[in-house]
Amino acid sequence: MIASWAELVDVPASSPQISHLAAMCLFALLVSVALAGLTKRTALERAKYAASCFLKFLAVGIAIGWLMYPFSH
Amino acid sequence: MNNDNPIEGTSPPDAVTQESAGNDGGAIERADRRDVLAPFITVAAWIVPGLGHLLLGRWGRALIFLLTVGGLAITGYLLRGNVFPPHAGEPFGTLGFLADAGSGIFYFLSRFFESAGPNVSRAAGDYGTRFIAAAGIVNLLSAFDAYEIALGRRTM
Repeated sequence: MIASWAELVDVPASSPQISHLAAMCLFALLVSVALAGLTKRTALERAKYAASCFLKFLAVGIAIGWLMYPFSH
Repeated sequence: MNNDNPIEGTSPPDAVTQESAGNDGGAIERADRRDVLAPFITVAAWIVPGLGHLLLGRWGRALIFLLTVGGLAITGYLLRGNVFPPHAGEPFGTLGFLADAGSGIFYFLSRFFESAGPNVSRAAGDYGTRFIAAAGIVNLLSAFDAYEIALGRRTM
């Protein structure tokens, strides 16, 4: 019996590396699609809402990143 | 003559009374059935993301929630995020558990996907913790949505 995912695919023992931006984009994409599915009915409405929500996630994330930039020095 | 309708002050015709009584009976029966089914639909939606909507015939939403909740949870596990146990012993740990457990079956599969255990000493593990919590929150929202649809409060 398969006890873990690692037995099925070759998962490295160390932590996978992912940039903050890539993680944010993936997170924003998945949450935007979920929110679009929750609030809109037709495919077109969902696509528009998901795209809008995704771009707003990125814009707010990047803006907050730049706002915090002075405190990192 | 006995007055049956104190609001209007007159009794309605018998035929109308019987017809409206039949309609009311059907509506009440449907509402009762919805009240009984809604909790089961909600629990199904929580245990397997999308199952509640699938049972309600909302295929599109079912697929969206399965893919997004699954995507968030599995990404979180592959990034080796922290999975909060049921008895964390501190308020934030309890909140973390409630958020994580919201993803239903994916919470119980965490050991399968994250056999090496969490590693929050690296940034990726920290991102993973947020992905796992977000999966639970999104699934809880979908379960509430399924509940509202099952009760007939939401038509869209």
